[in-house]
Amino acid sequence: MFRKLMPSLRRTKPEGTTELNLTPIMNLMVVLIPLLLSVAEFTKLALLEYMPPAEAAEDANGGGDNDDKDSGNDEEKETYLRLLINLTAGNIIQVSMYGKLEEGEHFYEIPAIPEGYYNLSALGDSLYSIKVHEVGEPTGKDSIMNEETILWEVFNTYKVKDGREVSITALGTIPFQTIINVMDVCRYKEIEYEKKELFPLTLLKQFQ
Amino acid sequence: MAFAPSKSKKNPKKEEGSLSLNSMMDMMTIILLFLLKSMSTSGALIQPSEYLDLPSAERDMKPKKALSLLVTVNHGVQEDMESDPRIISESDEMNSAAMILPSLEAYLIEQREFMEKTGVPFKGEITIQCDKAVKYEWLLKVINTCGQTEYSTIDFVIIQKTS
Repeated sequence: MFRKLMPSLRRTKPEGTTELNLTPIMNLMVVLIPLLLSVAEFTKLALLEYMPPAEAAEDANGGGDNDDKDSGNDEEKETYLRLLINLTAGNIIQVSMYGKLEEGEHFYEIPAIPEGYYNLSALGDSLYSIKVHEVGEPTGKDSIMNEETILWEVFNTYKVKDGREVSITALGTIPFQTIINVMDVCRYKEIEYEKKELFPLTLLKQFQ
Repeated sequence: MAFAPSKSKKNPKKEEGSLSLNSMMDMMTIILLFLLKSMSTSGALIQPSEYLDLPSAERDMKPKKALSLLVTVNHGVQEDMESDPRIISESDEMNSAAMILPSLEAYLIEQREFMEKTGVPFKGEITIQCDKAVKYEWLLKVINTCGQTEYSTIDFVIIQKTS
């Protein structure tokens, strides 16, 4: 009779677990973390560029005089949109085009939201509608030299010469944050996950 | 007769205790990744003033070094000195009807002349740190004064909104 073969008892000995020595990695971490903490940027600051009216007008006119723009004759009305946003009392936004001040297609008011604040969402929609219907598609491209980067910045040109420009006026008591919010709305509108340019050149003017 | 204590009780084997560093490693890795993400290679060119509550906006223009002004709610316009900002235009001046601030105008002219004397090319650049609660009329006065003294490139410092 054959004896059943059994595996040796030695083979069933549990294998000793080898632990990874993490101490050098920990040392590295202890050095890296304070170093990165010192160069970390928790509040990201940025700059909001502002172009004073005279300079913006020069750019829009290709170096021309701003007086022509405000002369208001019939020929100029066709070439300048003269878009103006006025932040008034009672959180009402007035939108004016072509220098109109009589209520109608080119001058209207956007009432406040029920919570009692400027209706910036409606303003964004309104500006997008103006961009589509009054400014239209770009007619060409122009470029301007950025003196800092020494690079040419290309931008669209439109049938209205100030097709990228909006003037903002507000009551003297309105806080700066509200102005910034309105400037943000004027700049871009997100349509189907794509940022469409509206009026990135904002001019701050005195409330009349 | 008393029993002699067994050898194992008398000399218990001392097992070496090892600290488990795995959970700490996990934590460190997460912290490291977070810090790497928020690391800035450009460094802080502009220090946000402790006297101001800056507004937030969706802009990504990188900060640059230029002549800097602080516009506060209580003390008008101040020179940007990190430890102790010097007041340039008092609140009384800001509340006056004039659209140009004489003290600020004098300061800006002085700075421009200083730059010209020291051979630094004058680019007309100015950075304004303005409190979010500052009134629009104050802001316009500061902008007008800057424009009047040939500082035509005005940038406002804002806190970048993450969308």
